[in-house]
Amino acid sequence: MTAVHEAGHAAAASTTARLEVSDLSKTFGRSRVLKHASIAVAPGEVHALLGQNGSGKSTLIKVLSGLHRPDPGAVVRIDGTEVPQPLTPAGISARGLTIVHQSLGLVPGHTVTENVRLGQLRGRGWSRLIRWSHERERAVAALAALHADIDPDRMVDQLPMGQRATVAIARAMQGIVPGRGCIVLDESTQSLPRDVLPGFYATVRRLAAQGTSILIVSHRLDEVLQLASRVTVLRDGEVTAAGAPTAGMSEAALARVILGRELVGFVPHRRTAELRDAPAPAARLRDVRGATVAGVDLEIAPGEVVGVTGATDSGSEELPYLVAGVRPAVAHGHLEVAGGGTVDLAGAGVSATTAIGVALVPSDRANEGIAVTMTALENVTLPRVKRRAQRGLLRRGWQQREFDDACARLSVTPPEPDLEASAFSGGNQQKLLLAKWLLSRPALLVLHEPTQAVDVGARAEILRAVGRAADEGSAVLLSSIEAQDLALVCDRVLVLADGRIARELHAPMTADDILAAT
Amino acid sequence: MSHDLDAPPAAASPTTPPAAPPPGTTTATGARRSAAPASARVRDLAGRYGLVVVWLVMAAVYAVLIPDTFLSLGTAQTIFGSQATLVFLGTAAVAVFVVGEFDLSIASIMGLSATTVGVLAVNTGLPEPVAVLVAFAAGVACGALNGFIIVVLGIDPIVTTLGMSVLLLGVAQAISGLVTTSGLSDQLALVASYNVGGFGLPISFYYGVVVAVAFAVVLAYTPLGRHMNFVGANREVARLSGVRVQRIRFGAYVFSGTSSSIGGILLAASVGGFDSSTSGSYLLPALAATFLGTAVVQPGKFNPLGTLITVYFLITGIVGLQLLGFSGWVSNVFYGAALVIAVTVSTVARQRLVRR
Repeated sequence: MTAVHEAGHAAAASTTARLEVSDLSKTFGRSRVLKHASIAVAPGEVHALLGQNGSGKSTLIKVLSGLHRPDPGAVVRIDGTEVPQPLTPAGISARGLTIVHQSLGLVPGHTVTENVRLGQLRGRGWSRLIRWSHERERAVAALAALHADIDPDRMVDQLPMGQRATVAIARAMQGIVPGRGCIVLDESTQSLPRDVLPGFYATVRRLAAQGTSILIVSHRLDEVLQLASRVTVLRDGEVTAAGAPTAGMSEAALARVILGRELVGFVPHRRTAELRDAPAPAARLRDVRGATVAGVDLEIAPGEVVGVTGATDSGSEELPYLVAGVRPAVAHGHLEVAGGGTVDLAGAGVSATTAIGVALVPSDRANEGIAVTMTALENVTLPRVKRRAQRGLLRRGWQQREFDDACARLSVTPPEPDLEASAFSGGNQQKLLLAKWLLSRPALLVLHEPTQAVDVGARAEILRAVGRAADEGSAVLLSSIEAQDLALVCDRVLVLADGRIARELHAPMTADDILAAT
Repeated sequence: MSHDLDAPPAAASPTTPPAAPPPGTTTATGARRSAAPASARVRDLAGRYGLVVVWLVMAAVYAVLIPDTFLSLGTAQTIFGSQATLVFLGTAAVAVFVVGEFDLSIASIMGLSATTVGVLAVNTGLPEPVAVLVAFAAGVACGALNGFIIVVLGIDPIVTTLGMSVLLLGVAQAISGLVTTSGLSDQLALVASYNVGGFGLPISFYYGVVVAVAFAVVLAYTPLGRHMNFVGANREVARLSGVRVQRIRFGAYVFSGTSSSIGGILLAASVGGFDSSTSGSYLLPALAATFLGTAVVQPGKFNPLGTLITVYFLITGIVGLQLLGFSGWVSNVFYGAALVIAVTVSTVARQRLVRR
């Protein structure tokens, strides 16, 4: 790591920047989300762009990709040469700048080869037809450069999330001439499972060592400190740290720079004494099976937070959805909730599990969590509209009270009930999603990666709210690969392997204990 | 690797409640709220009822150009008395659009019901109430068949209802033998045309208003309406929230068939019969009103009240142009243009909203 740091510094001092953005402002309507922002990435450097949700970093990336046109005055230079505006995806990639977006940009229903070679397909030979054998070889070579062994003939939608991200990165990297160019990785590790991260980091370091510049956008501060030699931090659209070296910086110090204030301390959540002595479990899973889960038996006491973690396809990612009745076609087993009854998970839908007091906070917020075209209030109250209707009608009073309660519990900003959910930042949308289910006071609260893609401030608030739900008597099942989250809120952590519980850790435990057991 | 991210900072007490939210956020929104309430409210009203203003202006222009013919009771009766069928078709379309579905067979279901009433009552001599009930049941069954194919079997709604639309048109033509039915009784006509309160407006006008208002209340103030909106906004989110998505989608098609069928029965009753080949000409006006209706009352959303207002806005424009001497082609031009303009305006407005 130190070698990379030194290389980065030396390069920054001696040559013109690989990518230089200066005086970048962007106004939407009346709000100015970027104010004279600038960033300079040196050749062969791993540079991190940081900031809270809503700080303007997504807008900066969107301007670079040509999705938003900046206010007049902005200058973008690659290797010292100004890039003519307006910026276009084709224009920037011709100059060696590639952007891997968080959404990956893969085309479902097409093969890995087609996705990797998309945009590079050329007719070859006298017929000017695409030679698929050739394209397939190139795709395999691009994947091999990432040390990835993925069948090039599989459909991308059949790949696990980790491999999909690899395909997207392979597509971005094949256009890069070794030793040149700049790759922007916008939250690219978000969908990568923990166990493939070391390999991914090694790839990034190798590319940087060859001279390619990497700009990473990430909420994972440990990742930033591991990879990046310098950071640029945005707060409220302004640069508050321009290319600050990371050497010797702690995560707490970095969090301080991002938030502009001290991170409010999070007291590790522990089950209260009276709940610990509860006579019966609040929820009991009996022989739960699914596509990857191969028989899990589990009892969760009221007020207990049970963490579930594991490598890809260990079953830890699937378990929440089986328990919540989201995948009745593949699920087997029984779920019993104290005071609610028993549900046969085979064939039971979400309406059956919610009826006995189960609530699921899914990880895919945009597609499964909240409907962004509906208002914040409508999203928060949705699970309870049927129960709380009076004489068949929905009154404003209880809905407004629920929304206010959501804002108070999770400090949602802005606290405007009738704003479309899409107008909220990612972190605040995540808070709305959590509030939507917390307000049902579920007997069993099931969560999958509740803190993904949220900044450090929102993360502490979300974890605190989960702890509070447990204090109020909910049994909590938290599936996550974030060992720090698990160590902070869980009373017990189950490590799954091959669909079964392989190890069980009890509080107090540290993130390192959990990582070591995974 | 340090893991001190969430450790309580040494200085701060771990029990302190969350610090005040980052400066600027709440105060900024508060200021924005109080700074421009008046202009914002004006813009909001203009967005909601702009079309009503255009309607009034249009009526005023006609009143100046052709005062003798336009400002007559007969014209008012033509405008408000002839459109109930379109209101029922528009309501049917809104119901399927709200849940994110599509139904191109509404006009043909309407036509099949209208034809069935005439054929059964006049040609085969069944009592009229029985003919009406059979026609009604046929419409409901067509809606249920759409729902079964699309929701249960999972077939694309546009293809399915396009096919059903032509199929049902053919069935109606077959049972009528391609002959216009006529000769329904005056008693049946009263069901549609009874002059309520002596204002000169037929009762079918009020049916349409009641259905549109009732449906608007359901959408805005009932759990069913909220669930329908979420199914349309994001089907998977609705499913994961415990909403019975399939049931609601199926129900929307059944409602669509039912409402279309009522529209057809009212049409046959008021005219005394029906020409089965003309049902297709009702589809575009209904869709035009539904899409243009997204610009009224609840901008950007399919809504029954907006559709109701738009139906009468469109017919006012057409009647005025016809009184000015333009002939039959004008309604095609007007409805077609309204549909394209409505979709363009609402899409552009939506993009601007998103970009902001």
